[in-house]
Amino acid sequence: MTGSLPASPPDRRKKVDDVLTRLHGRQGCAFQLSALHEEAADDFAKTADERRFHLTHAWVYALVDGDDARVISLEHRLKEAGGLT
Amino acid sequence: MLHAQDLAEALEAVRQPVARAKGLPNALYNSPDALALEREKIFHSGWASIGFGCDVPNVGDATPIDYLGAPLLLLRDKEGAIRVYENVCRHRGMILVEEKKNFGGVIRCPYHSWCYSLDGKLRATPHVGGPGVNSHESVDPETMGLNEVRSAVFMDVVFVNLDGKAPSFEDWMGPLKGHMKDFEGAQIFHAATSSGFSFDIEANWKLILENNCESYHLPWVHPGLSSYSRLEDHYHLAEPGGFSGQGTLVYNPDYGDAPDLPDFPNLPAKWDKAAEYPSFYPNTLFGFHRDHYWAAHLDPKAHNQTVERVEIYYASEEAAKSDDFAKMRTTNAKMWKEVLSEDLFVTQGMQVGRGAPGFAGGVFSAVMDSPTHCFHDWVAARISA
Repeated sequence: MTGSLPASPPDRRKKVDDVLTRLHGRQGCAFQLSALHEEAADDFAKTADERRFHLTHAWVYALVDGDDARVISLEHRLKEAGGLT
Repeated sequence: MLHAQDLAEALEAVRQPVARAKGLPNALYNSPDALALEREKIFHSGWASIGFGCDVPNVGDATPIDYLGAPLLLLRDKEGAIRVYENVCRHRGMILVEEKKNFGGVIRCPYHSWCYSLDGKLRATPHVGGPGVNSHESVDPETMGLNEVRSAVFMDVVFVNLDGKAPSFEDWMGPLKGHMKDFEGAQIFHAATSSGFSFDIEANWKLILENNCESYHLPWVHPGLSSYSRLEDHYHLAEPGGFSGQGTLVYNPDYGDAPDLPDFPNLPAKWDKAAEYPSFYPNTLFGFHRDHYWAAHLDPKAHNQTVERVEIYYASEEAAKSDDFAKMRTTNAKMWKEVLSEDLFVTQGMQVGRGAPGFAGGVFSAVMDSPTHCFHDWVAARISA
């Protein structure tokens, strides 16, 4: 889903940040935003709080996208991380 | 400026029998205060139309509506039902939807991203308990869903009762439904193109409804229509019951060489030649014919500014959508647009006329103006209540 992004971790993080900034406020990008935030949670978050923050955004955009399977998966992950009761 | 005592006396004069009644006073047409009063006494406390089901044809479609200053969201939910919500987030009152769009998932508030499902439930409150913590005891999702507005649909026209205190829609519309029972259960089909039009009218909303009520003006304002539908071919709909209007006994559309549009099934023989145009108070106009039906929604934008929007429906999918009937649909819509546009100089002229201090509501012909008086009496009763 983000296979076109560069593989080098520092470059990749900058690329993810750039794409998130570029997509901010655009319509029709919910799936992409969700995937990028989940990737940030998994690969770039340095703390549990930061990871939970990105999982939260991934979850919200999955809800916007209407992808029920993805929503369920992210809710499970958020519960495990203490972000949802 | 509305003066309470003057208004009370004027409304009392309106409520007299038609032969000696006066019309509604100038102040109810040319004062911004009047629309504020009508918003409270008529629009938000009763049932009134806000739009059409065809505005949201697909599941997830939603369109924002400004209903006399109340931001509403007209939406088609996952079961295909029409719902109307207040178009604001329960958190900080931010407008949720600013333009018509389809929601495949939730409705997300652009401010803090609180999310609502199409059935109005509060689905997500991100960071509400701090960064990455998405629930908190201070916000109960069970009680913080979107405020749903009481709504009902009649022949694709969407009605709301904003304060939730009006009688049931069935009771409210009972007299008109009873009168038009021949069309009860009729399936109607909206043509996506060439079946709607609108006018921006510099006139008070009441003047447009009043004009639609009566046939008195037809020979003078609609000479083309009157060439085959004479004044004496018309009759009044003027029984008290929340609507009034006119009917004709000589409806006979001419589409030239093209085949006739199909009729609604099982109509009594009366409708072979009859057509009726009830104005349903306060802001919905209807046109019933054996082969098509139209509804007009009056949207008061200011005391002297109204948008009149008309949508036309047919008796079958084929009549509404197929190329075989495209010419007739275009001809029909063009004809109605021309007829209704002929009324614009009258409604706008009467609006300007309400600036004359010496015009104190005018008088009614006891023979020709009873449908208009019915409406004035209804307005006076609502405002006096």
